[in-house]
Parts: sequence; structure tokens; C-alpha cells
Amino acid sequence: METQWAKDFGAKCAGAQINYQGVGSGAGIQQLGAGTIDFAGSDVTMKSTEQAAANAACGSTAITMPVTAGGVAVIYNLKGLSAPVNLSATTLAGLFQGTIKKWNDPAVAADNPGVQLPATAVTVFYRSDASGTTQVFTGFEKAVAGSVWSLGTAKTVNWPTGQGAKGSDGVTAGVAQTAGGITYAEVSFAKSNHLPTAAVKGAGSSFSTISAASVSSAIAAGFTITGIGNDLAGALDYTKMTDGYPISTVSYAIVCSRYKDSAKGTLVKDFLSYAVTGGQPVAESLGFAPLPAELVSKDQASIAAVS
Amino acid sequence: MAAPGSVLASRRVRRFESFRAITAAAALITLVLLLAVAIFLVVKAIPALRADTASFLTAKGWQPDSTPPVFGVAALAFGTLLSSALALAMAVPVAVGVAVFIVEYAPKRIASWLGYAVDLLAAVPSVVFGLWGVVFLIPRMTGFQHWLATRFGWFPLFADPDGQTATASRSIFVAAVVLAIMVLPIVAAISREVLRQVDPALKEAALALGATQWEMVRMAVLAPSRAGIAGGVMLGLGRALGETIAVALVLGTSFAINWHVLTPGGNTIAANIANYFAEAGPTGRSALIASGLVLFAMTLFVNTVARTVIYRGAVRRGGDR
Repeated sequence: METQWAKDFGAKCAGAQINYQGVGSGAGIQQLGAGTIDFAGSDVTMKSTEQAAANAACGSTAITMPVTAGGVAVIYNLKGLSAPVNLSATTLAGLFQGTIKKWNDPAVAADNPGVQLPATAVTVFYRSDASGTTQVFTGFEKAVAGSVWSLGTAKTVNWPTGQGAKGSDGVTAGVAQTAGGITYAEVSFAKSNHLPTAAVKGAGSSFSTISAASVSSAIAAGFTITGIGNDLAGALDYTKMTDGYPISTVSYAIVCSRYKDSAKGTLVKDFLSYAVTGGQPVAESLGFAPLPAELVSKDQASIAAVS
Repeated sequence: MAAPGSVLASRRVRRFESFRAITAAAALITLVLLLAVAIFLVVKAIPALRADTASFLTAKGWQPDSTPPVFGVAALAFGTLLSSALALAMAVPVAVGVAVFIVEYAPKRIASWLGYAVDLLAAVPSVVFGLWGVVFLIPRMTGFQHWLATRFGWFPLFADPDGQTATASRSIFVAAVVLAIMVLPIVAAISREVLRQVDPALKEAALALGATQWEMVRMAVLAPSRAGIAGGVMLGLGRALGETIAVALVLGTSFAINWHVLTPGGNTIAANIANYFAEAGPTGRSALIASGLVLFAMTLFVNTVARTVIYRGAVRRGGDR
């Protein structure tokens, strides 16, 4: 995502070069703290120790702000169904924890009245590598399915069933190869593998398919800023995402509020301004979702203070 | 004439001395590197080992960044050894067979082509084997794995208690097949060179005594080459133990000690490092380095044991004569 922004931004402003390396959120935050990079993109906010390290490296407060929204799609492989399968949070918990073993299980049928479901066995594919996607999916399940979900929430959990595969491309390829397969990944992987995505019901009362609009409205409902002042770090409350697609999250940029090199500060500022305005449609074309307008205006106020 | 001769001689001595110094330095650098790696691993591993609330050597899960951190290397070490052992069991007979065929049986032209092909296989990057395993091999292994599980399920390794082999299974077995293909060229190439070194007089003597070609190969070619072939197997084992990305791509990771090699799951130390490094926090990174230390120790141990066995074997055979 940020790689595309960096490229587009470089193309628009001659002389500005931003080198963005996709290394994973953990490594990004660590390198920011070590002072080897000037800003980081991350799926998660910083822990207090990481914040302290980043502040020290910046020589000023490091601030976090959401720059894009994204949904985690539930991708499956079932032939002969005309509409997307409906799955509630508790049904998903049953599927991913191995208590629902066949697709025509009563729990799945209850979510899909009138649909002739096949008796295909369920094969779960989960991420074998540590991933923010797993964190989001398990976070949603833990919040919404409650006690039915026993695996907790983390970048890796101990899955009781199914098999692991590396990366979003790996799990999606696994599902594509396996009739009855199911996984969670960014929606772009479903599209590239021509696989359907489920309509999901979270805390709300209706099933929602994943789209840029439905993810944005879920973020508008479920994202609360917890940071102080210009720091826009926030928390997601999946139980509040009653509107839109409920397995949604935001990605952050972490920057210094004041750069030692003022030219660098201006560049970061311009890049972020581009990201939250002109960059949003680009994000959408890559399978991310635009931020709700309210967050964009808060971002712009925070960006204006960066120097 | 005596004076120039002695100058020449002393030059030669000097050259000899400097050459010896260079080789000694090369040997020393290797040792220093090994020591530096060991020290790095130990120093970086200590924080995680201190923070671990489970027993690092016997616990099976891997949650080093949770609070409290809980992780252990047991399942990883088990999977590493099991997949490598299986890979060697598949690769070594084929590799030695290829080497014997190239050296003893094949017509010259076929032999040289086959030799190139084997060397080429060794040059394929491991990520290519991994991608091939994921995209091509896994779906095509389903039938064979299921057949093995239903026909030979009575054999504990091939048991499939939960009926998981009916669909594509990312198992230790598939990973071992990929590893076997990667190990094969190494063992085959070294075995071929070792077999080539066999004294032709020995072979002719065997044939002259009335041995058939097979008996000649067995007694005059394979028997004296045993130590050399074992050396090749050790190099292959080293590659199998440390193989990272191909295994990470192919294996359906789980953190359990599971002898059923056809069912999905299993994990290795190297693959686990590849899977978790990018997203690991400070404790997570240190924990991965600690697991690297275990792999390092395992490789050293396996090598030492294998060398001792080969050495003893050589001594005993020498004594028999």
C-alpha cells in the first residue's frame, strides 16, 4: 500500500524520493525506535516501551495516525452457490475451531435459510506466519463471539484444526486447491484467485459483504481515538461495528511530530497529506478502503502540526 | 652454481612458508566465524530464555510476544529431525543409485548429460522448490498420501486417525519430498566424485576373480567409498536441517509433536524463524534466535555423531582385513 503511495508521490513531486520497505509492523516500529527510518507504517499502535524508544529516536513525540482502512475477507471454496454464503461470528468461530465439520451443519444452515448447502468437509487454512490479519480476525471473534471463541487474539494463535500456509497468498492458494476450504485474508486475494467472500454478521443484525464502502462505515462506527492531542492512535471496538462490514481495521503511519531535519519534516508532511487525500482512491483500487471523512479531517489537523 | 641454487631453494622455502600461513589463516577464519555465530546466538538468546514462562526445551507452543511469554522448541526440533530423516530416507538410495549408474553403468554420453542434470538440480534456488511444492506438488500428492494412509495406516507413521488425508494435506511427508529433491543433487554429486576415485585396479581385480558386475560394484566400488558417501549424506542432512523457505511455504504448521507424517501440520526451527521474524517483537526476536541456537547445536551434534560413526566404521573395516 504505502509502496504504491511512495511511488505515486515520487512521480508527482520531482526530487522527492521516499523509500518504503515492506518489512512487517514489528520490524517497522523497531527500526523507527532505532532511528534507522524516518516514519513507519503499522497495523498496530505502539506499546509504551516502543513509544519511548521512538520518542528518543525522534527527539520529539512520535505520533500515530490512521491512514487507511481495510477489511479482512472470509474466503471460501464452495461450488454451485448463487449468492455469497452468510456467516455469523459464532458460526465462524465454530468453523475455525473445528466444531463445525461439514458445510451443511445446522449452524451454517441457520445463517443461510433456503440455501441448499453441500455436505463438503470444512478445511480451515490459517496463517502459518505471524500476521496482523490473524490479529484482526481473532480480535473480531473474541469481541463478538465472546465465550464461544476460545483461541484468544494475537498475531498467532494455536489453531485446533486445519492447516497453516505462509502469507495471504498461501492461505488463499490453499483454499483455491481445496473444495470446502475456508480462510481469512485481504479481499484482493479473493479477487485474484476468483474465490467468493462470505457475507459476515458481527454485532449488528444483518449480514454484510466486504466492500470499500461497508468497511468505511464499520470504521466510522467502531473506531475511537485514544491518543492525546495530535496523536490519533485509536482502538477498534468490534461490538460497535453494527453498521457495515464488521471485520474491519485501520493501518497507521507513525511519524515524528518534529523532525531534526526540517526538510525531512516537510517531505513526510507532504507525503501524509497526499496519502489521506489523493492517496485514498489509490488505496481503494488496491483493495483497501478509504478512511471515513471525519478521520481524514482529524488526520489533516495532525499532519499540519508535523514539522 | 651452488649459490643460485640455494637462493632458489630459499625462495621456495619462503613461498612454502607464506602459503602455509595463508591456509592456516583461512582455517582460523572459519573457526572464528563459527565461534562468533555461537557467541551472537547465545548473547541474543538469553533475554528470551529468561522471559520464557514455559520450559524452553520441552514446551511446544510459540507465543513469545504474549504476556506472559510462553514458548518452547520441542515441537520445532522434533519436526526438523523427522522431516530431515524422512528426506534422507527418500533421497539417499536414489542419489547413490544415480551416482553408481553414472560412474559404472551409463554410456559415456548419457553419463555426462545426467551429471549436468544433477548439478543443475543443485543450482535451483530453494524458494523455487517451495513454490513448486505449494502450487504443483501438494494437490498432486493428495491421492498418494490418502492411498498410503488407507493401505498402510497400520504402520504408525502413516496412520491418519482423524481422516485428514482425503483433502490436500500440507504434511511433513510432502515437506520431506521437497527436501529430498533438494538433498538429492548434493548427495549424488559427492557420491559420484567419490565413486570416481575408486582405484580401477581394485575393480579389475574383482572382475578377474570372477565377480559379476553387481558384486564388483558392491565390493570394490561401494564398500571402499562408504565414508565418502556418508560425508555427502552429512552435507545433505545439513541442508535438510537448515532449509528455511521451501519448508515454510510447504508445511501446514502446527505446534504439536505428531508422528503421523501424512496429516497436515508439523513445523521446523528454520521455517518457524522465517514465518515469525517479520512480525516479532523484542522477545519474539530473541526467542527465534534461541531456537536458532538449538538448530546450531543440533547440527553440530548430528555432524559429530555421524563423523564418529564413520570413523569407527573405517577403523573396524581396516581391522577386518
